[in-house]
Amino acid sequence: MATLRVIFHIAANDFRLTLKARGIIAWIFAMPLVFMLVFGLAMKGSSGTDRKARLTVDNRDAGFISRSLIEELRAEPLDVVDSLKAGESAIRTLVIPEGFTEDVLARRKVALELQKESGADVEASAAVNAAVFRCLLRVVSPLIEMEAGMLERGTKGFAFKGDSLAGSPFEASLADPRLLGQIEAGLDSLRAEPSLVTLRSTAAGALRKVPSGFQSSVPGSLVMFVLMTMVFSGAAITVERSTGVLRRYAYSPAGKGSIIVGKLLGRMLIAFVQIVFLLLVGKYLFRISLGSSTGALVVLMFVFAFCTGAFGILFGSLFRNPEQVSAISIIATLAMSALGGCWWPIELVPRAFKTIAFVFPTGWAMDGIHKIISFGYGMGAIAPDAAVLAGFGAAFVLLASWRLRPTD
Amino acid sequence: MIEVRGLAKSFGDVQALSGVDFAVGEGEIFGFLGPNGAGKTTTISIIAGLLGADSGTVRVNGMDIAKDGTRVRQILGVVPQDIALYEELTARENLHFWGGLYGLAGKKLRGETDRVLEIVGLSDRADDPVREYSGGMKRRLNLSAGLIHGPKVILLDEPTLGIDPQARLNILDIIRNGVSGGMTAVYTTHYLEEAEKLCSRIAIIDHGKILAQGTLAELVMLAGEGSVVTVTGAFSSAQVSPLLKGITVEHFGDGSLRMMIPGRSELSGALGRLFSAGIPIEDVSIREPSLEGVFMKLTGRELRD
Repeated sequence: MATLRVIFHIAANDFRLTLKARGIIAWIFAMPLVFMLVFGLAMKGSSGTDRKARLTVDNRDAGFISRSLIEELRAEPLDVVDSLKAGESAIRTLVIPEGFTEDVLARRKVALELQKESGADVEASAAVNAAVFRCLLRVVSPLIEMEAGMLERGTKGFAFKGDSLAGSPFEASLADPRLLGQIEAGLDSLRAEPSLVTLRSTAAGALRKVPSGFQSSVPGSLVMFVLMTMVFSGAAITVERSTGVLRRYAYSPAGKGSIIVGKLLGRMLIAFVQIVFLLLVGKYLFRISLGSSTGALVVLMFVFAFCTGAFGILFGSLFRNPEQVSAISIIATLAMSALGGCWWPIELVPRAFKTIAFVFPTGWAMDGIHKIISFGYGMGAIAPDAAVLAGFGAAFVLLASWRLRPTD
Repeated sequence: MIEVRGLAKSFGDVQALSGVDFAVGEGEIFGFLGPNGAGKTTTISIIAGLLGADSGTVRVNGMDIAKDGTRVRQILGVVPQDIALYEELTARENLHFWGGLYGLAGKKLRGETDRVLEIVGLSDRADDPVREYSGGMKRRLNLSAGLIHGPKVILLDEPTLGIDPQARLNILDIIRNGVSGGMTAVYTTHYLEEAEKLCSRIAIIDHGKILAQGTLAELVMLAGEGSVVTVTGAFSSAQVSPLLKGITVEHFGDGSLRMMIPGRSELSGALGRLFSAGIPIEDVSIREPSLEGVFMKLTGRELRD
């Protein structure tokens, strides 16, 4: 009981000292907001909303098949435009070549071109690709059905000769110009019929798409700045060591274990205040989703606070000069943040960097947070991340205990 | 109250302490006098349980520090050489924190904080941040942080280091008053006059060994120190030398002589003989035996060396 009281006493004092440190409020609360905003906007700042992928259609064909194709595309969850306003970027353009309808009806090979700008979102482009294929199928399938009917009816200029098909609907229409109107009407009619088979595809949890905008910048800034706060707090231990304060702790009946646990707890409290503040800002100011598993988020943030708090103590135990800690902490924090995926989505970096990310606690923290807030997973999915973070934390505590000597 | 026997400690090849023995009675101020690096802080650190001894034992209030460290630390107050305080906190906040480490809480902690602030004369500045304090005020607060839990024994490791004479006298008064209240103190210093004024017994330590210990009078006797008498006047050595048989003359010249005289009776005898013989004496100065002389005699060097 007395030991617990001493632990809380030390924790409360360290909490108070951190809040009294010069400039710390800016680092805990203000700077992360600036980073969230800047990085969020730089990464398009569009997360949390379900914006449609843009497709510009450059239709050089005057026929009805291209018109049907465009109608099908407009029915897809795409932002289909056929002309750009001044300053607008095309992003992706589908070029329908001249004579497309005639080529299709003549059974000639025809190529549609889907052009993408270099900065186009990879995932949105994939969605557009799939939509174009779907629409082509919805246009071409009725045509095949009608061709079968025409063959059955023995339409002139279009028939089987042996095993091969001779002629085409286009050639048939040359003999009977009314045929084109009939094909167009038939195509519209068939397209209007409800599909006999429907494939409904739903994601288990949230759709696993690469987090972008604020959905990426909020957790990234959170992880980076909590780590930074904790590492800066390590400088306080170096100061305590250099001024003899740590030695004075050792003269008291409080054991070394109580001192380290108390200091860790104080740092965890600071980390938790910062985490809660930044998550609330993310949710209410930047409108990001925090997922549906509050329990998993609390557990993950708890082990992250433990891990980074322990890292701060270890950092403080390694150096004797507070200036050394400040300089090295900035380099270490920035490196761990960048490599751990705090600055950009880890999905976008090469495989080797993905592996490197998981060398650092930041990589595991980012992985766990995105599982919860971006992909909708719960406790089971983040268990490995939480376990690894807890392991890192335990190792840091042990090393710090070994490094911190009362006689220092 | 404190019993130290056969204490030895080395750091690598450096023998910091060797065969240190001393005992301090209840209510006593025991001085540890020695130059920097003599082994004073190492001794304090071992008594406080911060360092383990290579050999020897330390008992405080009958408890062995090696076995009962936590219980010993509960009755022990330490005032370190460093000003080990949180500069960003006020004096009151500092004392609340350090008192809390000793289990004080609530009303008792607040009461003890007010008490020690009063003792060290900082009540009116109690709520100012320590970084705004003068060096002497910080030293007093540093002392009060060692007193906050009302220790039975206090170890003071050069508590007046780097402050002005007035502030130093102030701190010595606080310690003297604290001890008169029943506390036992071990006081390390390299200021001779502090040891002389404050300590009932003194140990002279150098190169990790206690060279001598006792009251000031015992040390003077032990070192064979006497009064140094300097006489000047219009006399020649031939006139006075027959009158000073049995007296140690350190310097002899026409018109001046310096003698070492072991006691009061020898002093009055020698001066009486000079005056009776009509030696024209203009001035006599007497320097009483001091700890400085004892220290020089025992260590062969000055304390500042």
